[in-house]
Amino acid sequence: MNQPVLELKNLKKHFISSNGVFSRNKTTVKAVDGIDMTVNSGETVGLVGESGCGKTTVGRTVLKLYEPTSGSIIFDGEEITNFSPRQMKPVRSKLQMIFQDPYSSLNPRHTIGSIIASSYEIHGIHPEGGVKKAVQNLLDRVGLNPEHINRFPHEFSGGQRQRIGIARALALRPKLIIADEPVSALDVSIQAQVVNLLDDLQKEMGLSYLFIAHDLSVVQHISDRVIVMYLGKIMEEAKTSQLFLNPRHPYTKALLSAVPIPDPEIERNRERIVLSGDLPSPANPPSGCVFSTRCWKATEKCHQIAPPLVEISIGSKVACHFPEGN
Amino acid sequence: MSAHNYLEVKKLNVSFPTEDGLVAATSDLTFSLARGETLAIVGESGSGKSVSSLAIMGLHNRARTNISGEVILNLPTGSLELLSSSEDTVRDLRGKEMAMIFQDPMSSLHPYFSVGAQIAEAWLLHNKGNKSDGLKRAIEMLELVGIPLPVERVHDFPHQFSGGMRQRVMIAMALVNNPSLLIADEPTTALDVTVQAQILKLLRDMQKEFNMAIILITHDLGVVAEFADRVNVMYAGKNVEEAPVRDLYYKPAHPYTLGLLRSIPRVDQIDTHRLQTIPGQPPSLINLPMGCAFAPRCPYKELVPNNLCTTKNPELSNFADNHLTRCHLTHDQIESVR
Ligand SMILES: Nc1ncnc2c1ncn2[C@@H]1O[C@H](COP(=O)(O)OP(=O)(O)OP(=O)(O)O)[C@@H](O)[C@H]1O
Ligand SMILES: Nc1ncnc2c1ncn2[C@@H]1O[C@H](COP(=O)(O)OP(=O)(O)OP(=O)(O)O)[C@@H](O)[C@H]1O
Ligand code: SF4
Ligand code: SF4
Ligand SMILES: [Mg+2]
Ligand SMILES: [Mg+2]
Repeated sequence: MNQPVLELKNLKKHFISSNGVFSRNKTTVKAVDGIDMTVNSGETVGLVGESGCGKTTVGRTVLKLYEPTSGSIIFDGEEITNFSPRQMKPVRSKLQMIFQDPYSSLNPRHTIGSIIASSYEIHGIHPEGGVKKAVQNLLDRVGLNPEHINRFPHEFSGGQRQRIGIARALALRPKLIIADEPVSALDVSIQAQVVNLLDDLQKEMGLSYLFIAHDLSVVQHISDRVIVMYLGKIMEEAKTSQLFLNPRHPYTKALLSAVPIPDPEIERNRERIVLSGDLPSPANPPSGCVFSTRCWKATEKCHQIAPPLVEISIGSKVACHFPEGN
Repeated sequence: MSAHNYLEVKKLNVSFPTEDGLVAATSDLTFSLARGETLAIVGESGSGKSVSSLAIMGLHNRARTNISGEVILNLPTGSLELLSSSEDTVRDLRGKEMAMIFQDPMSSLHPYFSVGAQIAEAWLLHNKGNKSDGLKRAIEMLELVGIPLPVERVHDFPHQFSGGMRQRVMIAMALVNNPSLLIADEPTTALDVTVQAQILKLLRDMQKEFNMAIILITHDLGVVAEFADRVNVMYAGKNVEEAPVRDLYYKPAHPYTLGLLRSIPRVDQIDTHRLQTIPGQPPSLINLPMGCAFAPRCPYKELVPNNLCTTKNPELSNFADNHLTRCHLTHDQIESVR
């Protein structure tokens, strides 16, 4: 049960960009800057953090859609860090991603039926009862009308497209799904249906999820463990209930205090931590602790020395010189 | 027509002819909005929120879409009905008088132009100035929406930004000409909650400063609770309930709204139970069934006599002051099932 399906060791992905083709001004964006992470078989790990902190980049690098800059990726017991696209092909049938931007990841000239069916074709898989039946079955499970198999992506609403992406990722019954904001475009009732579906599939087939989302109430509901990132680095990692009840990193605490509560009275009279200071850029991260430019507890030490991610209680890690709580 | 209503939408219908038949995406949509006010539109995925907004903005291909009803803007110069106005008239208003933040940032940003060039163009379309003025304005806007290092990043292309940063670029573009009406379609879904709070504050500040009317389309009922004055709930192309924000949360009147409110997971209440859902699926928008579109999923239809729910379409009617619902249940019945 506690077999890791994915292990990342000191993974880095840096983007080198120059402003214009002829410019010599090269900047390095340290989108993912040395992270360690494990996802066990049958487990759901939530990945949260500031917009632009590198969550999608982690996902795309694990799938080898981006070449990792350094570090290693071990999937299902096999080191895939330096796999070629040809070597990746069989891996992809076990490792799927639900993309954050549902529209640009769906080919506008193909019907949704053929988009989902192509997963089977690429990997030479013949589902029981035929491809068409399998596709219709998947559409039904994600709450879409199976009769819409011949429609094109532009004929669907935002949330419907998102579910097409989910159906496609589920088609091959992978071992691990990296779900990048899979339910962000869904109304809460369909969101609940999809979350329950992901739960059911996990129980049926022992699937694991790396669940990237900004909606912390959904993350709380679905995850066994949660990892909090900020500016390319991991700030905190803990069991879900521990993280939500007793956040140790100041950034986690600020993040939780900003979650809007669906109740007008509570929401409009709530205390929250408002972060001051500018968002730093991953091209020019602050020295010392990356959160120090916005942390209300920052001291000279914080500006000088980067705190390492250390285990402070069983299964709970934090990267801070002066953690909150106890 | 009441004087304080800046935008009036009356019996708006939008449908798309397809091979399978006519898709009725929006039917009989009616609401109004004053300047300085925020109306949230929530509802089922696929219920016509985006399609209706695009119709208000005049962004549907008129040749391939059937649109009827009225969309009236009460401008200082007089009232203008947009659906019967020429495409040129609507184009002149769009981007200046009224602007939209699109749900899908990547498909509305051009991949081959820098984000700065795109924001500058939106500004130059309605203002006098040269390219460098436009760029200056673009940097200002990027800073306003919290993009770090705006002076450098203004030259970057959309694919070099994260999902949430692209969304902020879209917001910058929509706000560049200080519009009077802003339709924001899921403006903060790709943002973390701290940036979301910052963007909502920015919208609220701009709303105060320019007395902007805002239509906020979102699935996040926490954001609605915080930000909206009034809420419009849509199901299968129709608005099924409209109420002031507190009434919607504390005294919901439509069975669909009840189901929606029960499905919300909450961070302030740790639970690991299975989430509640509304059983069944929304109807196909081709050949909508007779009667109430929610009837196949409604747990209360038995309370209504004579199978009225499956034979007669409920009209939008008064439930309480400023509170409308589209349901055959009586006031007392609603209070008892709530
Ligand atoms: N192809 C690319 N080229 C250059 N920079 C990139 C590229 N892709 C991402 N980045 C940069 O890397 C950083 C991390 O981006 P990423 O998309 O991983 O963020 P994210 O955590 O998924 O954010 P969001 O929550 O907004 O989706 C950002 O600063 C982004 O601008
Ligand atoms: N061009 C089109 N042709 C046919 N049907 C369409 C077209 N555009 C939208 N639809 C349909 O119209 C309905 C309303 O779509 P719309 O995009 O307005 O939904 P929405 O309420 O914004 O949903 P979401 O919350 O998922 O974004 C959907 O069922 C969709 O499938
Ligand atoms: S190390 Fe210092 S600056 Fe960083 S989070 Fe902890 S207290 Fe704040
Ligand atoms: S009209 Fe009938 S079916 Fe429709 S919501 Fe009301 S009770 Fe339910
Ligand atoms: Mg992302
Ligand atoms: Mg939409």
